Amino acid sequence: MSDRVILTLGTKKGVFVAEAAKPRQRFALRGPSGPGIPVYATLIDTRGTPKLYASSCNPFFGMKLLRSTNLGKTFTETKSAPAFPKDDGRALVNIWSLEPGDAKGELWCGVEPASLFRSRDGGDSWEMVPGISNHAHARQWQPGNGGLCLHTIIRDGSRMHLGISTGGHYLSENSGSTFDAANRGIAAGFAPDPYPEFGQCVHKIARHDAAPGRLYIQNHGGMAKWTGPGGPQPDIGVLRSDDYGHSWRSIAQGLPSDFGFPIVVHPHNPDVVYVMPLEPETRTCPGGAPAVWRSENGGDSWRRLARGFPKKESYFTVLRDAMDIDRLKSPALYVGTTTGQLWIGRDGGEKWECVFDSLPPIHNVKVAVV
Amino acid sequence: MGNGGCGRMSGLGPRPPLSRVKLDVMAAPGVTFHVFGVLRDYCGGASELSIAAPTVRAALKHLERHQPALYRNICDETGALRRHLNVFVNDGNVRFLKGIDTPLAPGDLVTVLPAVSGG
Repeated sequence: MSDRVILTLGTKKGVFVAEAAKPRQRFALRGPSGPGIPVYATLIDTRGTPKLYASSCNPFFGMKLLRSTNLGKTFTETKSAPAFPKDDGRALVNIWSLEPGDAKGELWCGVEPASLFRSRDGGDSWEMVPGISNHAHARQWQPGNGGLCLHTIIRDGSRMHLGISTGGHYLSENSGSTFDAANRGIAAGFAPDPYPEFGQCVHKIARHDAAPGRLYIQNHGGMAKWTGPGGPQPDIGVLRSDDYGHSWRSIAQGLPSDFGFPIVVHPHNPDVVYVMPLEPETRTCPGGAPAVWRSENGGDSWRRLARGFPKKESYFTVLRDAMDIDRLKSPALYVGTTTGQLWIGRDGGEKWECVFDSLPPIHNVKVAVV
Repeated sequence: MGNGGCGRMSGLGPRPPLSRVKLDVMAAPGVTFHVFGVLRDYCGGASELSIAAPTVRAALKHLERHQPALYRNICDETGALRRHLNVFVNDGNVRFLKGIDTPLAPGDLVTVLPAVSGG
């Protein structure tokens, strides 16, 4: 069977799946599955027979995890969703991240309130990972506007990077047994001490497999006009590490705003990184003119990519997991908006087209070639 | 999904010969727990469960032991009733009675319904 491009779209009203042949000229849409229920995390697990996963944040009956073995034609509930031990005192609110593990059937899951779970059987049973879930800092983390979420899981051999809002970046170098806060250089512009050990509102972390020591963060920026304690904190929103996350430096200069949610790395070049700057006050595209910005030199300079996007009166908000990039030779970016539009940015973001214009608010976009 | 041994029922229409699955024969009052439509998948398709329990709290405890999958839909890990659910004893919402400590009498009907909310 020829390669197909599969998109999972987690929305306020369930999960949609879009499919296209490799040229990506026309996407067929199916769904919503888990209809009417918000989906904040999806995963396209390409190991073996592809499986799609979607969290289903049921406000009435609690969290469910949905799984599809037929590329989204149908989804069924796994036997269980992550759950805190009965004596823990915390209750699962949402699932924010799903990542494949190394072993067959192994999955990792970041949840709200910020904790990490692991499954060894494809999501049918889950165990809490105490190294981060019961970390000494865990009861001191505070929720951001989206909730106290563990939204990023990046694994690299025995290293594991986690992004927590608001907790910051946590690093394990022993396969997740223990974690340390690794936030040197990451600011919390809203706090009296702008450089605390932890408590940063990290929005998303990205990395390229070929350059595991280099990481990029979209942090909570937009503090250049801050009048609270500590004063203005410009350019704290987009950062880079070259030492596996032990220290970070700003790469925000040249962007129209250092506030934003997603950050994505090019699949074939670790120097190429994408962000979608938003105005900090409205959390919408600056001037009502949407654009993705790309750096081709690891954040030293940035270029605006807006060809095909509306030029005015378009106040998109793109959430932390609503931008992804495929792995084809000339990769395309995919951007989902909270106003229900899915955009494709062909040729690495050079040319944008609206694929779907009236979906429910989009929380999550993932793409894979299967 | 869990099937704690309760049988498939026929909704609220005429009952099959085995009209209810007897889950408990303790001395506590026998009440009927009506299972809302989408929750029937979590208890083997049953639309009603017979439970012997003196309070709503005891009825929920019973579900936790005997129908854990159904219970997880109604209460979270801490044992708290999920926020957007309403529990009725007959026609009365327990919010306006004694909460989950509302007492149950023989023949009472306990119903858990999702609140009308969302957008």
